[in-house]
Amino acid sequence: MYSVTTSPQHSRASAPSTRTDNTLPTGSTPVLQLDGMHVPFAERAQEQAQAQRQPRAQTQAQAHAQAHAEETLHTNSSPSADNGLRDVSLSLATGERVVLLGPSGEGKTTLLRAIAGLSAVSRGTVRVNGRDVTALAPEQRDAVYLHQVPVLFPHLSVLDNVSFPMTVRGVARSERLRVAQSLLERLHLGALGNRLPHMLSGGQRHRVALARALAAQPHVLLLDEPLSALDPALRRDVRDAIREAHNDSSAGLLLVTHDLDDATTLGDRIAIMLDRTLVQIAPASELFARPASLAVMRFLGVHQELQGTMQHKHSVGTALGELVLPSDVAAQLAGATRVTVGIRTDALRCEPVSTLQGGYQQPSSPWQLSPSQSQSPAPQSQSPASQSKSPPSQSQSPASQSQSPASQLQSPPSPLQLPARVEQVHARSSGSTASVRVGDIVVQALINPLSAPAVHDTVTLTIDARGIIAFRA
Amino acid sequence: MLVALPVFFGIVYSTLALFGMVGAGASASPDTTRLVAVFSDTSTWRGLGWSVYVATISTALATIGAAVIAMLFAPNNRLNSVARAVATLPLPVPHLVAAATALFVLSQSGLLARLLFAAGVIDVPAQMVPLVYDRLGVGLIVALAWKELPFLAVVAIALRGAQSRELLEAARTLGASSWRVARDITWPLLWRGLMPAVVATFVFAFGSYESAVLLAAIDPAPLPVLTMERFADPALARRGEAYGLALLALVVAALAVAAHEYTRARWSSFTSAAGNSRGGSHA
Amino acid sequence: MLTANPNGVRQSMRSVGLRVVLLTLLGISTFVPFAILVLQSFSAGWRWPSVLPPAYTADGWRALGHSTLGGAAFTSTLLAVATAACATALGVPVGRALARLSGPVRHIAAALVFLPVAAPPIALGAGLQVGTLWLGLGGTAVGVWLAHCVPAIGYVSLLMLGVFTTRETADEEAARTLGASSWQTWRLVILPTIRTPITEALAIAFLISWAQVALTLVVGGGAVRALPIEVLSLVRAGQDRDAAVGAILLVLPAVLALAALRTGSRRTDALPA
Repeated sequence: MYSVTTSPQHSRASAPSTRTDNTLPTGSTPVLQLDGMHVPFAERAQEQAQAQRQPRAQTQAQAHAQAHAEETLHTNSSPSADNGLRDVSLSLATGERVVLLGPSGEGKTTLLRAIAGLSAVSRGTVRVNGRDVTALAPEQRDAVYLHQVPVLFPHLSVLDNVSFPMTVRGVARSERLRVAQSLLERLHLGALGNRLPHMLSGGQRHRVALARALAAQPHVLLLDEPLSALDPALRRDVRDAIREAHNDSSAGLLLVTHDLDDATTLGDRIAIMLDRTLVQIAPASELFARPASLAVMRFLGVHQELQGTMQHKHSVGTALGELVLPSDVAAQLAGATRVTVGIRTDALRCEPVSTLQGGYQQPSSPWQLSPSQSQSPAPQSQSPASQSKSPPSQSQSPASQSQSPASQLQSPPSPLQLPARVEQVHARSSGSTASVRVGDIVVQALINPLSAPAVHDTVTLTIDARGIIAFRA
Repeated sequence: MLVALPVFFGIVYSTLALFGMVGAGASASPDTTRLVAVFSDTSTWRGLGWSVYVATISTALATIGAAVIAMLFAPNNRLNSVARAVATLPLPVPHLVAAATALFVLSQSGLLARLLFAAGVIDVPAQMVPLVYDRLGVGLIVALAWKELPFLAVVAIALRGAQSRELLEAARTLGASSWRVARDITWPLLWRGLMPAVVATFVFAFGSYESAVLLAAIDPAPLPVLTMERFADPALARRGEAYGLALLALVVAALAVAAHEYTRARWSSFTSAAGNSRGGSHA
Repeated sequence: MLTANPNGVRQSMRSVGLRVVLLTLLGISTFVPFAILVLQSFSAGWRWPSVLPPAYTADGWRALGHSTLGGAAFTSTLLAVATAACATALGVPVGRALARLSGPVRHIAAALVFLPVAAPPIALGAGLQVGTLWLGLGGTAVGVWLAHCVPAIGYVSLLMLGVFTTRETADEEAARTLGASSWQTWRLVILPTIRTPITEALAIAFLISWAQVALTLVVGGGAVRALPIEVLSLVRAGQDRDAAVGAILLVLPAVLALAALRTGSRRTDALPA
């Protein structure tokens, strides 16, 4: 019996969601485990060729260029680790969704292709469900790679496309048609089985590709930027399709994107790739609260940086005055003198001096201050207690997980308040901000859009200590 | 329209000539004696069957060869591009030259027979298995297939080169071995694109007079040879029959083109899952 | 390279062996016939049971200047050049007109153009013979030339239909809005951008005429002695050496034309290598 639906114990409810590091609870085998992978970068040319080909009309010249790139891949690539991904390690649990996030050109696609066996690995191992597949051909890996633009077999009907993985595994015809039909229904394509791919809309193609991937019963699904290059409506549709496809699958899902929003919506955890290696793997809330490095912080869009000097154990002297650090941040900086301080935008608010006592509501945003760090002082360790307490991820915005931040802080430092002068107001549909000057420094701060200050107004700038991060300079 | 005019003109004239209404000894009323003579003559039908047989086998061989070349020598490296160049080099060689060379090599006193003699396998030319003017048309088929292969290979190589690599990757990562990918993806797609060239090749092989006249047996005489004989026949009435044979040849060519158009139309319309999943059986 | 895929490597090693064997066979099949023709053309008294010519002579080639072969080669060259010119001059506009059509009209028109290409030459010759007789050109080189033009125009039109179907018309529109007349647009914009396909069209039309046997026989009625007709009679008469000389003459311009096309396509990537 060829069954695609999975048993309840594999359902998403049991997916670990709040792990803070890269190790899994002992006893469970990760569906995907990468150890110290080095992947040469000979595919640069090929990725570019791929990008060029986006408009489907492919000229002969491009085909030649691509073939040439293929050739160089097989002959000229050097195993040298400084020309590619370095030392990538990662584990995916059953049913877990991890989003690989990083700027373009970091080799995220290369990593996915290497896991799928479509490009060579120079060092390290790839394990799928405990089995070392580093030396195996793509078809023997139980890992399905989905290209950015869905690749359907143009000569096969939708139903036959979805049946394809079962056809090549020798599943009986009636059985594979039954399973394919049920997969199509699961992705709301039940009526389209007899269509040929060229008759489908973009969203339908993505759904067919997902259904077909599930038909291979993979342990790992590898999605290469499925949401890039889509218009907003289609993007929502495909995002839903990915969730629907994966929701009761036991497969681990590794998805590449360069979009922060997609990462936070789809990922149980987010793996940040910078400088050709993985620099941090954590749930979104933790990532935003405690980026592992200055580079990660900058990549996540925290632009408010200040140079400072440690005053005593818990505070830093900066151009904005003395800032009190959260205790876990301070603990990591023990012994440091010069530090770089980052302040999250949502920790900076300004209000008209007269309405300071009014009830200013903290706006909702992915930047919502997260509770997770306040429970465990050091971000790189975890206690079983904290894990069991945490609610399972519903893979929505991390904002939905945060309870009242104040109630969770052991000793909430009082916010710092400074007089400031408004230089510019930036009205947006959500999270309007203002540039305000404090002494020599101009900072971006959230404003209440309903009582927006005017330029040159004097306002009170409030800095929430929980939004302060600091790194050794 | 203008381009096709001579053909229509030919059809009309041939029909009239067949009924004895134009040409030497023309009469105003249709005369069916030529028609009866052409279509009751068994040599007409045997010639037609023979020509279709030879064209089919040679085209099939050339198609298989072209597909193997295109698929096996697909990735660009030195060995493969040399192979592709070598395979397509005889592209512009005329049918006549291919046939003449086949005659030099394959006839009973040809080079092959002489090599066998030198090896002590045969003693006199008569012992050589007849490869030209033979019942099976081996020499003719070999010459036609040799001549057709480069043309089909050029088309197949271009098609294979334009196939998206993603498609093959997708199939691999879904669990298909490289052999399954070749069988279920590369070949069916190649075949769909190659189809027009295959039909054209069949039609050319079918209508090739010079190969047939040099390599085929007197009986059954291939249709083009039969037609030419009638054209040159001293008896004027028999020349009228030539037009009947020409029309017959035209009908076969038209049928081949129509069958091709029908298949293409079927492929591009809605396809039932049942009809479609047999795609692999082409291989 | 430290490969990740020994499985793939083993497969590719096996396929390298297979490919080398196949390449060798291809090489034999491609080059041995040419080698035989060359040997044959220089041979003296090469017959059963000699595997190689017992003696060599250049008589066959030396006789070209005054033999029927030489004259036939000249006739064929004139015919082929004239056919190439005529077919290209007419086929390019026809192809463009076809590309401008749409819907069922286009399919019908394309099928009509395909008809003279697909029609067996003998069947085509049946109609053309009568036509040229009517024009008083039966058995003349001009009549044969007109007959050769018919399939050649069909070929070139189909080739150009493909070219013009994929060609963007934005540059023509730009030229027109910039003040170019329709003739100037042709001369200054369209023709320069389709130079490669036009070279191909010339080559193909030349070769159609160059290798034509049946049409020449039927329309020329045996009076027009083009090169293939001469070669055919030499082969049938068993004059193998002279036939080989003629065959090489037939192949030579064809291979040169292909080589020229390949060189051209290397610059433009219009044809696969």
